[in-house]
Amino acid sequence: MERAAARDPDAIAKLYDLYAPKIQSFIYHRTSDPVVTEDLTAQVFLRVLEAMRGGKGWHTSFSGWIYRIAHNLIVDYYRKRSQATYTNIDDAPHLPAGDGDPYRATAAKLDRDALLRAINQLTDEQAEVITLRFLEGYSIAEVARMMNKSEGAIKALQFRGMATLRRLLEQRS
Amino acid sequence: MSTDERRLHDLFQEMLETRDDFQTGESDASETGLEDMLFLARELQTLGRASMPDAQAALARARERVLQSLPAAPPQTSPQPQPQQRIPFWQRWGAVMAPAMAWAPATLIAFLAMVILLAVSISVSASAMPDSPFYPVKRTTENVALHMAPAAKRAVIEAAIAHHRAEEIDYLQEKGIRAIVPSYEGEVRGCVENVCQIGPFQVTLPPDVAAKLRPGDRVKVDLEVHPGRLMALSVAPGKTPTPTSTVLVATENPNVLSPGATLESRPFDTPAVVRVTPTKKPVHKPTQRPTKKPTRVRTKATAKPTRQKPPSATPSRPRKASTATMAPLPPPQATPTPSPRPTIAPTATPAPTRPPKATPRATPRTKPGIGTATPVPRRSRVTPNPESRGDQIQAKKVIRGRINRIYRPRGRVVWVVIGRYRVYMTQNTKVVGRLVVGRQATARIYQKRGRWYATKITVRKPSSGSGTAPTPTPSGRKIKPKRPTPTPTPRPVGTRPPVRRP
Repeated sequence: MERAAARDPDAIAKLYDLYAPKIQSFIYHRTSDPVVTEDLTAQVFLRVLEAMRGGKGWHTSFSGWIYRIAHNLIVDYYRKRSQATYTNIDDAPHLPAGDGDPYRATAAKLDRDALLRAINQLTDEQAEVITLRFLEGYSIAEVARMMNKSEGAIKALQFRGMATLRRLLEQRS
Repeated sequence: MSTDERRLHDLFQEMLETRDDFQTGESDASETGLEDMLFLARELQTLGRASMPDAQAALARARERVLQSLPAAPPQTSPQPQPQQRIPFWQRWGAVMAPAMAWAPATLIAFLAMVILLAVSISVSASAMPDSPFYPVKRTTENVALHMAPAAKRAVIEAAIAHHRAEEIDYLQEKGIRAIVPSYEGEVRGCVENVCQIGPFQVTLPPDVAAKLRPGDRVKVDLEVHPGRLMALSVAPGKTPTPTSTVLVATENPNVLSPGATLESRPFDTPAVVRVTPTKKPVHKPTQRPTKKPTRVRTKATAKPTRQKPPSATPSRPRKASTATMAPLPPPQATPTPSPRPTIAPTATPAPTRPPKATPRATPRTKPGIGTATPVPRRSRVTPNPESRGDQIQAKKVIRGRINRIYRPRGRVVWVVIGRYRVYMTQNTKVVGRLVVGRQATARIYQKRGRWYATKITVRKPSSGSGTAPTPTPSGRKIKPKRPTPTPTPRPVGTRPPVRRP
């Protein structure tokens, strides 16, 4: 970490190799877009380096800090996307054909998008806990350590987040 | 968070960990929606298992982008600690000095209080007399000033200290206080038996000590002041006076030496005087300017012809000898000062109502004595006798009133406010009783140059009754106080009131 703060390329490369797959997965599960995921992953590490150069850094957990940066970038992304204009479907690039039934694939994608949109409507902490717990597969203790909270607090956030998700999805249906 | 909520959270977590089918079978779970939430969790976990297509290539591209953003600075081989925020040196110094600075205000206040107290006590002690609690401060200040002074100015300070001692002895003798004045240094002018003239004072010494002293010796004596005489407690050789190049100037007050005049001492046989040799021109400044216009005064004595004394520098009243052994001496030699012009021209016609009481004395009135010790003109801070200046007396009167104020710098009364008159004391002023503010006094006064001088002040002793004396006005009229209304005497019980008859 100290060498990475001193802008040592080797240290930065090691840091990237260690955390980038997790951050990439985290972002992909929240955005479902490979292009956006690649861009946001790079931005997460650039922000990390910038913060370390400015003397700012993590307080307790580096992984929790880096996940929080990724979460903030995702929130910013969705906020900008909600303000963006939609393009015509004819002008959109052609999607590669997948395996299996296209109808079921489209239905599944619609369900997934609805779920991700519902996650983005949660509070920051609830969304982070739900993502880390169910999409990334971390345990309660790991999430508590990352977010510098007690396990009871994580359980509460998890329960309230799930209850809100359920209510949001019921409203959609 | 309530206990039920906590139990629900734990139950949800437990079901997440233990049940795979998410069918709880419990009625309360279905009611609270736990089953739906467990199903949703399963959906999310399934979603999480989906991996990003072409993830490795995307990671590599992002890695390239991150590393390209780094500047071309050479990598540092040695590990450096995480950069810490630099703390300015004054903050670090402040942190070190913080415990000491916590006491700074109290220390500063205490220091300032001490400085102020010291300054006040030094200033107050400048005029302290031996019976004052500040007298030790005065002595200490003098000693410090003497030791700190450069050699050229030391003689001047020693002279000033000797002058202070003389003042103190004068004060003690005048007040009749028995006290000890230590370290009085003076020159022996002569001895008769066991009484020696040291400086301006006649000091009683042990006979064997007195026999050893020679005229011109400087001695330092510890004096015990008794009413009417001075006793030497110890005698030590004093310092030889250092000749100083400072030139003392003769001022109006012949008792005060100031820069510009030289001190000369004479041999023992000749009368020893402190001669003030003016360096340039004798400066004579009257204390008050003569009025151009004669003031109209009701008193008859206004038109009296001027009694003009022959100019003389002889003191009108030399120091009283403590013993009756001093022989009368020729008047001290001094340069006569030109007498100031009379303020009012004498009128020819009006005759004096009363002839002058006594002609001014040209020779000092001393008691006869033996030996050759010369009484030195006593230094006095009292206003010089205006009669000796040849001014014309403008008015004379007797006033009676309350002593409202006494101006007594350095223990010597200069003027007194009696009623509404400010009356100046002269060398010839006779004071009967003790001057105390609030007491009634009768004063015989005369006016010269617009000032009132006292010939005699009689202070009445405070009576137990609260009688109010008439307050004189400046014009001399007396205002009688109002007579109190007589209170009717109580009538005895059973008697009739007196019948008023028309």
